[in-house]
Amino acid sequence: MDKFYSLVIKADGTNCELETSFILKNVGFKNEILTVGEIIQDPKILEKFSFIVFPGGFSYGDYTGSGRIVSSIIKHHLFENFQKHIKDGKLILGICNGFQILVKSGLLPNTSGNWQQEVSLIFNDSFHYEDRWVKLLVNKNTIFTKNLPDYIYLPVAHGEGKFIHSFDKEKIEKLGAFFYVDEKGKKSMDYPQNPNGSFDSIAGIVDDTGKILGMMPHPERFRDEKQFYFDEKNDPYGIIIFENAYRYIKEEL
Amino acid sequence: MILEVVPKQDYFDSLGQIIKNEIKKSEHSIKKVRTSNLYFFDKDVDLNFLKDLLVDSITDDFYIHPQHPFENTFYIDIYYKNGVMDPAGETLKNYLIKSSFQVNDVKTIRRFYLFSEEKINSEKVIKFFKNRYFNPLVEQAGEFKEKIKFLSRDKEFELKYIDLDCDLEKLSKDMVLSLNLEEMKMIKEYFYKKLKRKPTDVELETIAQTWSEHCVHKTFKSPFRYKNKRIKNLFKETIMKSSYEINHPDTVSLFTDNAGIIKFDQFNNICFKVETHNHPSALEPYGGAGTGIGGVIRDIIGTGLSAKPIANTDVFCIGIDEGELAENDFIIPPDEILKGVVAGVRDYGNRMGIPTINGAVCYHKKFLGNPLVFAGSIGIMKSRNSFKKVKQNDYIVLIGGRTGRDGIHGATFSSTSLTEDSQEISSGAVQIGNPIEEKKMLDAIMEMDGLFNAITDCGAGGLSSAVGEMGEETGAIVYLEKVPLKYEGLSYSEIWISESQERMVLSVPPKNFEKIKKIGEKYNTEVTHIGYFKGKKLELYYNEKNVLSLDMDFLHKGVPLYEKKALPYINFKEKKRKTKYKFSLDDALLKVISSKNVRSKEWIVRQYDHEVQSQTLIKPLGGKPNNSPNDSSVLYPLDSKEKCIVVGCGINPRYGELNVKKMTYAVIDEAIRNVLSQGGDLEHTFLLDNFCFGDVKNPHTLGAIVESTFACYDYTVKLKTPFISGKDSLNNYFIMKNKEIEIPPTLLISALSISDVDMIRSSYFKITQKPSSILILGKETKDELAGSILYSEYKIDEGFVPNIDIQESAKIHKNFNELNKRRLLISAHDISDGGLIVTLFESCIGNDVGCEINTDSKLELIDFLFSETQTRYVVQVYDDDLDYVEKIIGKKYMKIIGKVVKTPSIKIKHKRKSYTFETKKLLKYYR
Repeated sequence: MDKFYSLVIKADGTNCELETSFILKNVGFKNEILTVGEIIQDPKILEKFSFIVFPGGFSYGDYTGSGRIVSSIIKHHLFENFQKHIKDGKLILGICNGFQILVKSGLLPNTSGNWQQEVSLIFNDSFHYEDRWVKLLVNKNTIFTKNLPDYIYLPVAHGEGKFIHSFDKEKIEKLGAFFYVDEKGKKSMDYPQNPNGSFDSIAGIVDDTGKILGMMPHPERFRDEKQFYFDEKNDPYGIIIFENAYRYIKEEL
Repeated sequence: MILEVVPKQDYFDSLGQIIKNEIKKSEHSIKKVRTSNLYFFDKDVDLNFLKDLLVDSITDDFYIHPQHPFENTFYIDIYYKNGVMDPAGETLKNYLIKSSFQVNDVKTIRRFYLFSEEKINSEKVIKFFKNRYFNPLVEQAGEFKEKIKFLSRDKEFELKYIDLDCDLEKLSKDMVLSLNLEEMKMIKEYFYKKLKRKPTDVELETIAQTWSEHCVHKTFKSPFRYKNKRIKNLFKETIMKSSYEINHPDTVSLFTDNAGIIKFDQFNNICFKVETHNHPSALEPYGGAGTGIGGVIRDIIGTGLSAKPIANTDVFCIGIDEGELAENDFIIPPDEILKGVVAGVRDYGNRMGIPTINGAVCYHKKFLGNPLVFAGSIGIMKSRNSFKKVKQNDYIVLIGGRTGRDGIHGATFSSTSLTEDSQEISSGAVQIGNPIEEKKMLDAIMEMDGLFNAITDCGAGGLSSAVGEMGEETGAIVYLEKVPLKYEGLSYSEIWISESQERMVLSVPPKNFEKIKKIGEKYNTEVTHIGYFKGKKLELYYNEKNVLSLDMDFLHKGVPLYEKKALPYINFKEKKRKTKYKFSLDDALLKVISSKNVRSKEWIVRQYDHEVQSQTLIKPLGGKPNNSPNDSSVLYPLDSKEKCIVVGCGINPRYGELNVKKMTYAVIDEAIRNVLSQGGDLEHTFLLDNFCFGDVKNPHTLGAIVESTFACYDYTVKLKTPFISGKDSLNNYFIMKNKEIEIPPTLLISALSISDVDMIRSSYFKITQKPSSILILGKETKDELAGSILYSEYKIDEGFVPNIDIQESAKIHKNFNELNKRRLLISAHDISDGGLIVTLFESCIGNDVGCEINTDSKLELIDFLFSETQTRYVVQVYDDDLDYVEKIIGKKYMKIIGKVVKTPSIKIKHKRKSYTFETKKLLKYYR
């Protein structure tokens, strides 16, 4: 079976599926977009895909807390299927609302191994939605982030992105994939460099295997260098994160 | 059962902290505020399931009532009134049912605990929360009671006939028909003479909807008499005439569909529409603005055979309270209106996944009781989908949300003025939107490509307008009992005219219906076959009884149009300023930079997702510190290689109040400047007009309409930039202290330009390797400060309103466009509100640089810096190119004024004196 199938999961109110799919296809994946309903009807279909992406948006309106309904669906309708996907060493990426879903369903970071929610993403300190570009420090020791430069810029756009946790310093350094930094590159707890007040300046985390990544910034929104927000030449780093996934699947799966 | 979810610690309760900080200002005794969410279920649901669904195990605790988190603490609950859409409750209910739990009713309640050692005055607290945290029109404050009230079933079905042998004006008023005596007489004649019977209630309602100012735009289409001239059809002789005369090869569909359509590239077309939602936003800013955006998005989805919305725009005109509101309870304070409309656009646009990329906010005291809310949407469509046509015997298919009592009488309501009892009478006219419902519908319709023959949205007038319009040529038969309802108890007439949001009507060939239904199921959006396009007439049935039968011709062509007598608008008397300025240049600059109209709109822009869909190239704010405003935003569609879309706008109510014709020229000029300075292409620039004027009973207001529309014609023909769509909203006035206050004549011009992506540049100054200079291109700066920001701030009512010689200005823009095409400009920013000095300041902050300006202008320096003379750009050009630029733009229209420097300050030399302004200091006032 072709291993380059990727899946973008769409719930009612998901709204970044097309641009995410656009990048996946251009990177080389055979991408499909399936609705949560279609997957519930045929959960085995997940086995077809090496890479599952939960894109941004407002799944089911996020009316009762961001990502909650989809994470409930994962726990109560698709739990075994996701466990199998992870056990097979396949990849998962959650962007923005997707990150919230991964965290609340217990899939990420799952350090205890019992699939319970361990961390959370809560309302920004400003208590409102915010769209801005941020500078990020990259932990390059993950499948998704290797060969990125030390620092990258990406846009964030969310109302509930404040990452909270109770891990010790060493553990969170290891789990952290992206950190909000100030202009000089120092991890920042100050607004607006850290746009939401995240603990330890966390913008994204991976699990212990590095195969599940969740991040608040939107890599799919930096696909062309012309999208950069000021006059400085910067490569579209967003694409690299997806390319790394492709490379991993090609070489390791 | 009731489940209460409450943050574990004060620390997790950001909303509670925000409210505490606000409420403490007036209620000093309040020590702490905590918030929680209550979920009411009419049946018991498995607790473990609910916990996973509603409780964040890291941050939340939960209680099952009668257990409470904070015993003996004062609280108030805020929840939707019966019959008002509760989007969260609705979503939960649907999910629970899907997960096989039997619930009929789920409600969500927000609870606020107030901690104080003193006794709390509940009335005072509710007053504080009112309009800030809840809207009394749709929400209730107090204690939530677990009793379930079902809306009582309507009495036995009874067909109501209305007797027209009565005081027709009174009847029109009592039924909120908003029809005048002549129109009522016309209707009486049609029924009594032609049909020889009385009309049913729903027949009268339908005619009122179809004939409303909102739907038929009878003023604009009427004949006018103005200065002894007879104008047969104002709209046709001005706006439309311009477009037909220009005859632009890239216009595809003009003025006929929901939005104008133009060519984008070989496979795709673009459509653009801007709507107003003024009266609903005055009463319920959040819901009004949200449903305004929701409505215009549906216009785009309903253009041709459907377009995909790719961007939204929003423009607000907000009042200024100079103490009038102290004794007035019915007008919502301007700050709360603005917060509400921003939140409304934010929540609807962001949730729909459509970036909000362009807009403006302007302030004027005459918007106090009648703010203006413009909402626009841009769509992209396959060229083959540009036209629709209903076919005989097609199914009438309703898609999207269910129908409730929302917004009954919206169309007729928006055609009347706001009075102090508007809140009482028209509470039904307020609609609450559910963007997720619309998103599901949009996703489904996109997949239905090719399966339907026509589509339109249910906007003002609901099914009545949508089906009436679509069936104009084929006729239509609708079975009202088939329409899915939110709750029992709606009468046939309410079903027909309800303005429940998030619904559209499709014309579907019978063979495709099953396919369409399947796609609807995939996206969880309801698809219902409610009738047929056939029979030549409009016929409605309810439980097999015929409740309406009207001739399409009478409905659509019967509205009587009367000649309107217009008198010239009373212009401001311009005269040379006599009084001496009593303020220094420094003071003036700080005042202008920090004025509401000029200061940074960052707090608004940041709340909008302006990058979803990954197509935004130039964002509303840019530059290294991310706060330098660009003149326009630029969209770069995913599949596009070279082409992009530049979007800008122009609006100026201050000029509108002074001189309508000059205002019209100025706002067209501003819209053009905005797109050109970003790198737009004048030869592929298209305009939209949105007229918002006052009381049409005032002949001078009618005169303003005539003057403005003719000015539109004159200038756009010279520029060769056609109008592709537009809308008017009239009767924008309000009554305060028994005095009628009309809004200033306001015209919003939105501009859309199709350009090459390598023509696009940012607005701000750049440090260049090769030597470069700062230039002013365009008209010579004159003493034109009447209506300027400076004069408005200092309340000076003298001077001259900026004037435009349209021949000259059109030439300047054309030559500027040549500079764009030859890529001769390094940066460009137009000069508008606040004058040259504001443009220089905004140009400096993008790269945190400064400039040194040397001017030989004969004007007083204050006049030179703050004058708002039109058709001017500040640009940066390589010194090597200066001769070339001069050759193209002409010596007369080019002034070299200085250099960009690294030190972040603005230095100005004028008549041997020099002045320095630190941008860091100015930024503090600007933010």
